Formats: sequence, structure tokens, C-alpha cells
Amino acid sequence: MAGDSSGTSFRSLADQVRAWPESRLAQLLRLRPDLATPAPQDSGQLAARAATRASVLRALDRLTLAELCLLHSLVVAGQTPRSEVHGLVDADPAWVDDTTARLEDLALVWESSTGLRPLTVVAELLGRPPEHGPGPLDVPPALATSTHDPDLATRAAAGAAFDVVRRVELLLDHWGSAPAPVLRAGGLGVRDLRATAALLHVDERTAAFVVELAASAGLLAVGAPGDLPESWLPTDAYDAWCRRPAAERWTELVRAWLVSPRTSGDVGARDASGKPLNALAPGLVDPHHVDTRGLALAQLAALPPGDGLATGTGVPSLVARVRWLRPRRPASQGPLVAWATEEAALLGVTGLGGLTPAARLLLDGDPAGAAKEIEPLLPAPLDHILVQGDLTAIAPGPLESHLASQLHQVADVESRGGATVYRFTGSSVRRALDAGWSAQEIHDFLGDVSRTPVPQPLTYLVDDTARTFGTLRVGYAEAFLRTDDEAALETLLRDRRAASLGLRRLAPTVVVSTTPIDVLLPRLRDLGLAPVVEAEDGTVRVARPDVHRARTPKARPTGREAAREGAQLAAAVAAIRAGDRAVAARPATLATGSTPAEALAALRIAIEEGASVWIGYVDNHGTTTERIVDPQRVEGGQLTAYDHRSEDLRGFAVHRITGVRAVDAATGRPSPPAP
Amino acid sequence: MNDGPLIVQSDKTLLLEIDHPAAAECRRAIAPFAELERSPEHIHTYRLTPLGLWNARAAGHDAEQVVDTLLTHSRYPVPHALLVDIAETMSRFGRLRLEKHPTHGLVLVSNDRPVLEEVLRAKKVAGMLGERLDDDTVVVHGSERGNLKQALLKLGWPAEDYAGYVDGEAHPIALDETGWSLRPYQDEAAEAFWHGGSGVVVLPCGAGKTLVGAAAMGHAQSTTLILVTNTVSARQWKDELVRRTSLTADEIGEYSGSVKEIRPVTIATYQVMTTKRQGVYRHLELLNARDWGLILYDEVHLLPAPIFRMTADLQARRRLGLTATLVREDGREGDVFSLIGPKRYDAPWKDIESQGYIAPADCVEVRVTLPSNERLVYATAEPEERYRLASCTHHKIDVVKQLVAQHRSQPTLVIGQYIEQLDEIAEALDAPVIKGETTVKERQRLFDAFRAGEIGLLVVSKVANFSIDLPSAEVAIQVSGSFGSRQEEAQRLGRLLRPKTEGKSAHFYTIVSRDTVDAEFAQNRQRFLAEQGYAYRIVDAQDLPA
Repeated sequence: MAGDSSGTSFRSLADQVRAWPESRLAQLLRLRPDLATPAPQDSGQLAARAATRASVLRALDRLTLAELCLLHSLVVAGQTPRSEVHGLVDADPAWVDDTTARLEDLALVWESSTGLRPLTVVAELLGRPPEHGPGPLDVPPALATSTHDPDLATRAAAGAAFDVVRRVELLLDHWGSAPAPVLRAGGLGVRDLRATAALLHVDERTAAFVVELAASAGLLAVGAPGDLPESWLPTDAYDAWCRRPAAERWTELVRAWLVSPRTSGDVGARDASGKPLNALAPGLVDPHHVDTRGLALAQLAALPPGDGLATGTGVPSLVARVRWLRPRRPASQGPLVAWATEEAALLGVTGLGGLTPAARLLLDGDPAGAAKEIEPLLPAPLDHILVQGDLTAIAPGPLESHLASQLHQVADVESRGGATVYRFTGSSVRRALDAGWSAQEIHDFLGDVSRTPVPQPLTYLVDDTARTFGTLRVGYAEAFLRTDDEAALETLLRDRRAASLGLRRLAPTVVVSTTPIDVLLPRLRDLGLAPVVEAEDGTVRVARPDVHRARTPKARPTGREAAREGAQLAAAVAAIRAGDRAVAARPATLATGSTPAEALAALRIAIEEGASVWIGYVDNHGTTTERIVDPQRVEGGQLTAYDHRSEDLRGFAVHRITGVRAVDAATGRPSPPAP
Repeated sequence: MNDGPLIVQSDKTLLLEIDHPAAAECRRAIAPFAELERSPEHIHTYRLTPLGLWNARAAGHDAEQVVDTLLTHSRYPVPHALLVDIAETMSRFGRLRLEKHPTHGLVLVSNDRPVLEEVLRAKKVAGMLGERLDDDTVVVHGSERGNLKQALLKLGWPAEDYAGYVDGEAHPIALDETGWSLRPYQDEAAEAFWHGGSGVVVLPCGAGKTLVGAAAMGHAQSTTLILVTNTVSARQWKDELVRRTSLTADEIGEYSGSVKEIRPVTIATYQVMTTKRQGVYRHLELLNARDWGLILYDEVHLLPAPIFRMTADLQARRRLGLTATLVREDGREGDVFSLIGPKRYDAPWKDIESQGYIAPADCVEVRVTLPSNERLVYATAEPEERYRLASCTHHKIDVVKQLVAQHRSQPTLVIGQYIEQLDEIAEALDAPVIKGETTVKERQRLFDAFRAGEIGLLVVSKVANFSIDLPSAEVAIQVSGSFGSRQEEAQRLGRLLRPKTEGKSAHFYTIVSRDTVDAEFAQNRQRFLAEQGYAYRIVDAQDLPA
């Protein structure tokens, strides 16, 4: 947009902004969003706000090293005619033109009659000149890359992707039945993190990342199940997440990660007061994280497919690049970039250092496409296992979930990964028997799901375990009562009121009854006992602990936010423009002599003519504002008029109007003063 | 998704589906860096360990190759963390090198200064290093070559040894291949060792490790010291060498409790080497008695600790370790790696069996039920007594009788741990017994008679576990063992696996008492068998054919 303003000069920044077309004004507000809220009154206020320290600091923080150098040169030069800018720095002239225009767009530099001038406050805030090595300004530091077979890289990434999905699932399944307590200061205890690392077969850093990732994705939150203390629990969104295909589960995790400000890389380090930082602790946030991660990934996205960061030197070169892009960011930027690349690798967003095709699609905002891209790379669920003579069973891929849960009862998991190795032991078989399986059912189950013949030692093991599991007794009774408290049974049997229940003692702790259970139960309660019912078929069922869920934290969808932002920008631009017109229409001397009667008269004329008028108005807070309005009607001391500033019908109290003056609606210029 | 035969697990195990068409190719590709952990019938489990990866580095493979192999053969995507870990672990090997310096003798050289700095600051290596020559080079005291390698391995920076070997005193040795020839895998093993310098060859029992040793001697052509587990084994080595090589009986000396000969090829027992008198190892000078060009260690997994210490001083000589398993019950695999050398050759049992070089075996566990009076005694016994009580139940003797009767015409060994039990069995079966107190001469006579077929049944204690060649044995009945030792199981099974005439298969019975610790330990041993690929059955004693 350099062409728009070149050749013309302005008295002030406000003057220049006022002359900008609306599109350029909107761009300024987009580049410096802090200027748009609350909507500025007019260009003057906008310009004043754009020159405040806080706002300029924010703008400077987003400049690259080269832009800062150019800006610094402009500061040193004081006022530079547009034609002389090229001589200031060693860089490509086209780049200098573009960058100068960008600095103007940012309202950090404006064009006075003597040349381009940076805002005074810029000089103050820039301080020492930014350090820049030899060579042209506009060449960013190169990335150290190495080239791999894109296919291999994608598969390596898919391995990580499958792993991270599996780990999140494993973790949350575990925490669903054995929740981890929340520390008093929030977060997850060191011991629990260590246990998590052991559970997931990873180091503690990775474990912390998985935990944080689950929380960012809304799959993990604090809840207080029943009478348990506050704990980290899977949310109900987790159940929905589990039911989706692995590819979609992955995209959801990555999308959550992309917008998460959490710094899981800090877990285990110590804060300023020497206290260790816990995973999931509330303070583990860096506002720059999302931005820095986005920048880092954008750099990777710019590499051709198959190219990735070189081992060893790659990450430092990426840190240097990001530091060049945002030199004024705090020192924490280095670790943030390193974490971003480390986490990207763990997530399978990168493989062998390069961004995967699926991740590119995700960065472009196409999660469905990304899921479709990665799906063929992930293992598909299987319906069979291989049983071997050493009493192991191997599922050579992820099992269908009902099969997996059945197998979990009969065998112990020995190794996880793409495949799962199960081991049958006496105690695992006993567990299945405890859960109500019969030996025959176990044999049938193994025969059905095993693709290989069931080896004799396993058959023997099941039978041998079943042999010792229990002996057979058959009888008839309507109900039975069991307790460990022999004395209680004794008391019950001797109670005369219980005589009609038909009780018979089988063992010191077991009594059967001829009374149906629905009669027996209330009668027993009447006798002051607290019985519970066992399953109907008489088998002992394991009382599985309840699986708890917390509510999913509400997250604002990002799309709606962008739309809202657009609407706000448009409103802000309109308000500034209306303010500008109001100022332009202001009478040379304020119409102090205007009496309410005169004002009423002027308003009525305007209503008749359908014209716009300038009014001075004192609002509820006693502030005087100037507005351009189209009066509609006046009644009960109240003016109803279309207000150009708020773009809406508004009511104004007539006694608060300090003056009225006609405005030429077509030109927006004031008419001659009223006599 | 790739349709490879390999599944890589995040806990660093590799699962190889052996029925897959590409399984053989994949196994060849991963064998150099992954340790075979179990090889049951359908899926073999390999494990990636730092030692295994360093072994691969020592054999000239690099991380890129390993990662590429995994990615190529893996059915599923390979966990990223694992790839990173492999690269990291492998890069630790060879950052430090032991080299010869023209003026300073032995030096430690590094191409990575921080590593050298870290190592120099470690307390463990403090006394072993001398003057620092420049930023990357430090003098090593010549006597500390082995100790330093051991210490560096513990620090996680294993050094590559480029300092070379002394040639030793030359002595012509050649294989005499008349009427027999070296099997292909034996030849490969000897070649692999020779090109690697020093190291360990892993072959199953009965696969002819002695011949690998002889072939290695043929390569070295120098005086050789052979360390073996016991005297009987020493004599067998001697006989074998006389039969298979150009060496004559006069050139081979025995150095044991009874005889002390030092000849160009000397066979010494671990026991005599580790005998102390008045607190000193009396026979250490044997190690320096001649300028040995090659030192052979039989049954490396049994190498006693003092021999390790002695071996640390022998780093300038070529060393070959022979073993059936790298598993040491004492967990000193790292010492084997740093002091004797990396694994140079490995072949799974089942492979060699399928090539017909060792006999297939039928493994059966027979469970006996203790009568209720014995169960009561067992239940009230002290925990340390229980295993003996359960192992030595009289019911086992009946089962042994039954089994012996069943295999009447086949040469049979009854193997046990407890002498009283063996004596009882020997009496019940009217068979000779060999135990610790049996003289070497008597042992030799009995073994010879057994080999010749004059005796069909022999009761032996654990003295027969190692290095006794009884190729004719077809049936072994194990009545008790040293708890759950997997290594013992391997040795005992190995007794049976010498190839049989007419392709007969061997029978391996283990008798255990049901519902006791005996059965628990047996499970451990059975698991080992199954993991080696031997299908086994479990039968109840009353179900045995009468």
C-alpha cells in the first residue's frame, strides 16, 4: 500500500490515519488488535492510542530482526525522505519498500512533510540497536535440514501418532478406575507422574506431556467422584473420543495441542522460589507458547516434503530462525521452540524432523482431510490372537475392544505397542474364574479367537486351575444369606420373628431360605439388618469399581471467534469514521447560546427535512460527546434519532443537548452557522 | 501400512512372526543388533538392549542401518521414542577409543570432548588414566586396559578397542578334516570371531562348540590357553583336539588339580585357576607362563568372578568365549561384553535342529500328587526345607521306574540335585551313580561304558551338567534341579541333543510335585523350554502308560 500515501505529507499520524481508506484502517486494527477494543472515538484517539507505550511495545514484539533494524535506522535518521530510505540499510530495495509500507501500516512510522518519521515513543522503546551480523538484513538464518525418504518419515510419524493415541487411552482408562488425586496447589503429584511414566513405558517428560495433552484436549479434568477427594478423571468427552476411529482421535489431540498455551516441558523444573513444577499445575502456561509453536511449525511447513530438521543441529537452527523472526520475545523462546519440536515428534506431527502430510493438512485447518491422510498408516483392529506354547498369546495388532476386554480378564498384559503380548498364569485364569467364567467357557473362548491350535500346557493350566477353584454343591433354595459375621447369623436364626422365613444353615457363615427374595429382603430389613443382593445365577460377580467421569470443560470454537472479531473490527471502523465526521462538523465556537427551545426548533426542522444534524450531548456520566444524528421524532422531552456512531436508533434527553447544528449529509461538512 | 513380519513394541521388544514369508530375511537383518529372547512356535521375541546395540556397533553396523531395518520390516509404524533411543544408545559407542600411541603406549582418544571430560571426572576411572597429552588424548596405564573398558561400560560410554593384540608365540595348528568336515555354521562362527578380534560365540549345547574352538585355533596358529569348567571336560577337549586337529597328545597339556603340565596348548580348569592358598591365587602365573596367542573360555556364562579379574589383565591377547547362552544368573553380561568381547556369532537352537545337527526333543512334565501325609509335612516345614521335601518325594521313584521301564532299550540318564535322593533311586533301579565324590577315574570309566553302550542307565548329580559329552543318551529324567535355573535346564537338555542315528528324537522328562514350590520352579524351567521352541506336554503321573 506504499503507493497510497507516497507523495502526500501529513501534519500528524492522526492526520495520516484519517486519510487512509477503510480497508487500510481495518488492516491496522487487525495487525494491532489492542487498538480496536474498546472502539476508538475517532482517528485522533486511534492515533493517540497507537502511540502509547504499551501498544507500541506489543507491536515491536511482533517485528522481525530485519524490520527492527530498519526501524532503528529510521529512528537514528530522524526524518527520512521516502527516496532516501534505500540508502539506510543493506538490503534488497523491494524488501525495503515493502517493509517501510508495513511499518506505516502498523502506524509505527508516518510521513511528515520532511520525510518518514517513526513515533517518538518508538525511539525510546527500541533502545540499543538490534544486533545483526554481517550481510544483507533481509536474509533470515537458514535451517539445518536433512532429506529422508518421505515415506519412511511419514511412517515413523504415524508410529508416534498411534503411540500417543494409545498412551492417552491407556492412561485415561487407568485413571477412570484408579483416579490420581489433585494436589492442594492443583496439578499432579510427582509420585503419580512417576507411576504414570511406568504405566506408559515412557520417561517422566513424555508422561507429563501425555497428561497435559489429555487435559488440553478436554479428555481429562478435575472431578470429585462420589465421596472420593478431588481427582484427575477422564471426562465424558473421553467416552465419545474413545468410540471414534484412531485417526480422528489423533487429529483431535493435535488440534488441541496447537492452541494449548501449556508448557509441559517445564514439568520437573523448579520455579523462582525453588519449588518443583508439577504436571497439570495451573501456572504452567506461557502466553507466547501458541504463537511461538505456530511460528516454528510454519517454518517446518515451508520445507519441501521429506526434508526435516537435521539431527542435532536442526533444533538450534530453528531456534535461531524463530529468534530472528521475534527477536524481542523473552529468552524463554528457545526452550519453547525446542519443546514444540520435541512434542511435535512425540505427537507424530513430524517424522524424522519433517512435517507430515497429515500435519500440513491440520495446520491448514482441514482435520477431516488429515484424518483421511493418516488413517491407512495406522493399524486396523483385529479379531484374532496367536496362542503359543510358552503360555503367551500375541495379538499382532490392536484388538477389537470387546475382545480386548475379555482377554484382559483371562491373561495379563506383558508388552504393549503395535501388538500386545498377553501371558496366561494361574492367577490370571483364576481371575477369569472369579469373574464368572467356567473352564469350558475359557477353552471355547481361546479356541474361537486363537488362529493357532491351543497348546496342551495352556489347556492343562486352565483345567488345573479350575480343579482347585471350587468343588460342586447343588441344592434348592429361594434365597441364601451369607455373611462373615457368624454371630449375626446366629442371632438371626434365634430371632423368633425370623421363624417364618424358613432359614437353614449350610455352613457357619451361610444360611439358605425358602422365602422368595422380594419378600425376604424387606423382612430382613425390618429385623434391622442391611442385606445386599447377589447376582441371580448365583455366580460370584466381581464388583467392578465405578468408572468416573468429570464434565468436559467448555472451549470456545475458534471459527466463531474469527467471525466475531471481523464484526467487531467493522463496528470499530464505522465508529471511528462517525467520530471523524462529528469532529469535522463541530462549530467553530461551541453553540453555547443554544437554549433548549432553539435546540428543539432546530431538531424539528431537521425531522421535517430528514437531514443529519450535529449535536453536543452530555451523557449519563457527565461526559460531553459530539455526534452526528438523523432525528426521527421528538416527544416527552426525548429525541429519538439514528446515531451514526452506534449505527442504531438511540434516545437522547433534550435537556442534555448542548447545541444543534445542521450538517450537510452529502459532504459531511458543516453548513454555515445558524443565525 | 506395511505388510512386514516384524512388530516393534514400545518396551523395546521386537515380535517376529515366523510363518511370514519374509521372516527369514527379517531375522537375518535384525539378528546383528537384537537379542533373541524367546523362540516359541509362532512368534519370536527379540529384545533391543544397549549391549546388543553396542555389539552391533562393534560389528560395524550404525544406527541409521538399524532404524532403517526396523522401519523396513515393521508391520506397524515404529514408536518414535524408540528410534531416538536407538540412535542415542548407539552413538555412545565409539566416542572413546583405546589406541596404541607410538611413544606413550596405550591411550584413550575421544572425538567428543564433553564425553572425555565427563569420563575424566568419574571417580571409577580416576586411577586408571595417566597424563593428558592433548585435549582429546589421555594416557592409559597398560595394566588397566580391561578394568578401564569395564568401568567405561558401566559409565555408559563403552570404548572401542583398537589397540590390537600381541601375536603370541607361533605354533602350527591345522584342522584335520579327514572323514568329517566343519559344519557351515561352525565355520561362520570361527570366521566371525577371527575378523572381530575377540568375542563370544553363542551356540546351543550339542552344536559342536569345541570344533569352533579348534577352528579358531587354526586361524590363530599360536600357543593357546583353554579354560574349561572341570577335569572331565578338560580330557574331552584334549581327546577332541587330538582327533580333529594336527595336534598330538604331547603338544596338549592339562593343568588341573591332579596334573600340572604347561604345553603349547594347555587346558586348565576354572577350579584350579581360582584355588587360593594363603589368600593368593597360586596358579595365576600360568597366564603368563607362555606368550599365549589365544585364550579360549568354555562355558562363558559360568566364568567365575576371579577369572574376570584375571581376564582384565589379558586384554592384549585374543579371547574367544564359547557358550550356549549369554544369560548369566548373576547378571554379569556387561563384564563378558567388556572383558571378553562382544557377541560375534549366534544361532537359535531350533535353526540348528532343523538343519539336522542336533536332535529334536520331546519334553514332558510329569506331575505327581503328594500323598496327604507328605502334604502335611510339607505344609508345616520351614520355607527353606520345602523345596527339598517336595523334590524328594518317594512317589517320584515310582515314576522314574515306570519311565525307565517304558524306555527300556534306550540309553537313559536320571539327573538330580540331592545326593540322598539319587542314592535311593540308584538303589531302586540298580544302576551306577556319579556324584561329586566319585573319582575322576571312576567317572571316566562309567561315562566311557555308557558311551560304548555297556551301561544303559546312569544316575548323575549336577556334576554332569556341563561339558560332558554323552552323545548316545536318548532319554533324560530330571527328578530335581537347582531351583528354577534356566541355564541348568539348557545344559541338561543339551546332554540329549547330540544328533541321533536314524533321526530318533530324544525324550526329556521332568518330574515335579504338584501344588508345591517344585511345580512353581518347574514352571520357570518349562517356560524356558517353550521359549526355546520346544513344545512340551504336561501329564499326570497316573496317566502315564503303565
